[in-house]
Amino acid sequence: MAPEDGPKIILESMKEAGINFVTSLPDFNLAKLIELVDGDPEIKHVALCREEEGIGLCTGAYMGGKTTAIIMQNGGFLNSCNGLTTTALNFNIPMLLMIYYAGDIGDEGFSTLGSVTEPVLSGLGIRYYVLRKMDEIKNTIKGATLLATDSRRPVAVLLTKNVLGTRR
Amino acid sequence: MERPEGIRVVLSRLKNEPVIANLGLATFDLFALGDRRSNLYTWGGMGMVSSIGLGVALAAPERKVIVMDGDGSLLMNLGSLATIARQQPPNLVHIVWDNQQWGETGGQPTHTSTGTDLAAVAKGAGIARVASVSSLKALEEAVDQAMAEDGPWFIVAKVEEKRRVPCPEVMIEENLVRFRNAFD
Repeated sequence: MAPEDGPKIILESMKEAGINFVTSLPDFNLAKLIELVDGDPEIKHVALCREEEGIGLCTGAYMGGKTTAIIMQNGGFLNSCNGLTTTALNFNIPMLLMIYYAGDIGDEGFSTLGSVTEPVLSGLGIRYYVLRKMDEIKNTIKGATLLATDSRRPVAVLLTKNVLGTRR
Repeated sequence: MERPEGIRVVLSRLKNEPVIANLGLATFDLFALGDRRSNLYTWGGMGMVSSIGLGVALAAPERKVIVMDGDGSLLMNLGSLATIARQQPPNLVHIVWDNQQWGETGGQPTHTSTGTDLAAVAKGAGIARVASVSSLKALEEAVDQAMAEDGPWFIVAKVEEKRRVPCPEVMIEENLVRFRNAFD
């Protein structure tokens, strides 16, 4: 498995996990994944203006019977903290948070963002799994989606450049 | 017009369509005027109701979905209007009870009290079917048209804030399960 196949395998894993409603805001490293999601006829994809909207959208879509995910950068995750807390967590809404981990080891320019990402997830009580290996994509995404559904809470997967095919 | 009168007009035109109410006064009034299976009351997540409503509308395209927003909440999530416009859900009826104040926090004036025109914002965002009403009769006409014709619809109803009903006791979990089951 080559890293450039990562986005395709991530999408396949999301579909195998039953995800059929996805909201997103682009990051350069997420571009390929979002392009694949947008082109998939089995997934309803909604492009956002701001990430917190996506928490509301996933909440509403869950009410209508969808299995949902949001794809965003960790800066966008910080933008969504109130919606995550007062809507998703408060209402017991399952959703998969697919967060690109800017400021991860080996990255440049986002170290502050990288340093607060895991502590904020922990502070919100959101369980998270960091994806660094290609051969762990499928089990992690399917397992995290099952955990979200079972616990009726958001669960996060932190996507690194290793699995997005963007590591220089 | 007062918000309870406006809500009564909307409810009189509904069967089992989902209604998602903004936190605070819209939720309090909707509950007081008639709790129903297809009502979802939102708590705590200010600004989220327009996005939650869009999510419901996209997931349940076969029925009209009514959102009862407030000016303060919508001002916090204006981007949701552009997202609604991009999706163009024909079944969404987005009503804003515009009392020109943050009603639950002491009535401080919002930006609609100083000239921000939410109907113009919605139009500019790309929503074509927009109405701005300040009388019950005009609201009735707008709601009748919105229920009969494809949207998305955006209706700003200017309301006067005169009386308040107390915050109802609603179990969030119970409300959620009931609302979700109303789709089966």
